[in-house]
Amino acid sequence: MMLFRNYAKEKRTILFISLILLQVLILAMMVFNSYTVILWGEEVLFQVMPIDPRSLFQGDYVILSYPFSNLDLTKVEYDFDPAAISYQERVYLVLEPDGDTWGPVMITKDKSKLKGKTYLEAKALYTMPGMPEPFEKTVEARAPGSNEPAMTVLRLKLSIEQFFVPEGKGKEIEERIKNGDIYANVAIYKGRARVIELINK
Amino acid sequence: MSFNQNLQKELDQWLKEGLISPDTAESLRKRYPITRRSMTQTLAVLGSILLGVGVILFFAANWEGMSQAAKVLIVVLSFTLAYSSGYYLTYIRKYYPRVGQALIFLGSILYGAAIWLIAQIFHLEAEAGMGFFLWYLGVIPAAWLFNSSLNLALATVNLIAWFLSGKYPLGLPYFLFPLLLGATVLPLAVLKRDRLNFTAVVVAAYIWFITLGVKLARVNYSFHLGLLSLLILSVFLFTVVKRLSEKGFFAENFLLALVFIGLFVGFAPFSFQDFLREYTANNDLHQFPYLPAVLLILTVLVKIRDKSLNFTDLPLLLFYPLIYLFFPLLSTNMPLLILNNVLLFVYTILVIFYGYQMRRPIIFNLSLLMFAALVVMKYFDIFFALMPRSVFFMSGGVLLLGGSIILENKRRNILKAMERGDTK
Repeated sequence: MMLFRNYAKEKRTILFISLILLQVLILAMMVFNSYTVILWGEEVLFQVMPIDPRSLFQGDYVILSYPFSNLDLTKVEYDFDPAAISYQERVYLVLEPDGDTWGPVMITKDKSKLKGKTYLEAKALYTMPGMPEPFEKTVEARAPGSNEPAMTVLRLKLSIEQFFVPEGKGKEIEERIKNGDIYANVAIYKGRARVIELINK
Repeated sequence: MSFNQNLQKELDQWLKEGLISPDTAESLRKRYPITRRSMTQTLAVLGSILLGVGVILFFAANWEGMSQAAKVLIVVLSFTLAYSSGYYLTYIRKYYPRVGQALIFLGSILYGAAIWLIAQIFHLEAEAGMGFFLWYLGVIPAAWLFNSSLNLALATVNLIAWFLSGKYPLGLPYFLFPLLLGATVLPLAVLKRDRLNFTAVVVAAYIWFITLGVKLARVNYSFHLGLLSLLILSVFLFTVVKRLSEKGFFAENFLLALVFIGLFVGFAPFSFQDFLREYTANNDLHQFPYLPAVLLILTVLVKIRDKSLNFTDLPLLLFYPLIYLFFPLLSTNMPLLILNNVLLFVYTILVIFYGYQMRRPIIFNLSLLMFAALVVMKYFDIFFALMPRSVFFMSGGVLLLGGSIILENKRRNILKAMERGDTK
């Protein structure tokens, strides 16, 4: 193998500069990828939910959860069999305004249904039984002859579940989230999303 | 003393006795050099790591006194400066090459700091595999360009972190991992005869292969399948190492150590009654591919035909649990349990003998560790239910203390004998 030190000086310089440029390019692509969402995306407001009554604070970032992180399938349209979903399969959450905030109206795996709509890309993780409903609805939700609870909640993984905070500020934000005071201002562009800021309402 | 150091000593003797020519001796010295670690390099590398970690922590504190753009600019300038200084010292001035290499390594760490800083600015997922992948992508060219083991190790760690943190289902990223490992890391490790990075690649392959075995059967966290995958890979590696050892492979000891550990860990659960009962019960494992058991039988038959079957092939016997899958009804639990325990004990003794006979201190030390682990395991397995708890723990403590003293004395004496060249 030809060693770097044995190359001609000019070739060595070119290769060295190329390495630096490659790394700067990778970083620039990271910035571009995020900045396009913020510059060209639509700003939407989501309420932030408490995720853990004990502590939300991990290190120097806060874990954010939303009402649709555990998506209640009885409240939205969906066009696939939730039981057949694979772990980390990509899905799209179509959003519409709901008062001051935005909420999901449909979840789909079919990109052709997203034209002209505001949607958020997510990964489906697993289904789980929904919260106890009035007796009639629970009976309806089970398969005929089955005593198993219906899997009516789809756990989603979103790209907007963390927010970096200045050192020492995590506990304060955690308390505000628990009180229901915090909303996330999020930019969405073609399914990709970035948290711009957390605001107090 | 390492193999290379021993060889250098022997070469002088062989030259004196006229067994080899001076040209042959010179070729062998170049092929198996003694690498001396200098204090300067060690300190420089430590300094780089500390400085790099310090920078990462500095930005992780999310200091509000600086704008985000300023932070990005500073870290980009930092790694550019580190790389440039390292390049200057190593290739232009050629004055402090070791410090130069350490500065280049620092540049790679600072590049990683830039990735995590940008992730922080845009609140990107903190544990996402993508950050590790981008770090690997920027550092692997540096490893090749500067022929740097440090950068190669950093790239390997990042590649493994990307794979493990992503928890990928079977798909492109899952199969991209071994491809990248085999195409970008392994060749450089082999070209540089870099034992540490080569071993890291093999360990990563183990992890990937074992998870593949579990995923293919569409069972989550199946312990049985994980063990069988471990046994299959260990036997495969064993046959590869045996072929390569004829050509004097540089990482033979490390690979053999991995093989012996893999076989021990893969087979040990079969010596426990509860596990064996569960394994031989009728379950989905009967769907497992029969190929490994067929391969084992064929390998043994070929070796018998070639009259090349010897005691070093005995670890292959530990592969035989796969044959239970063909004949579950023929195996009742107790005779099988006794056979498995005897086999595990014999295997451990054979590895001790192998390490001693072949004068391989790494294998010998490892085999003693396995023997100690076996004694502790079987002590718990057999006596835990039979004795009152207090007696169990007290007698176990006495056995361990006494046994460790005897074992350590024996180990030191035998290692000294191995160094002297006395294998009797």
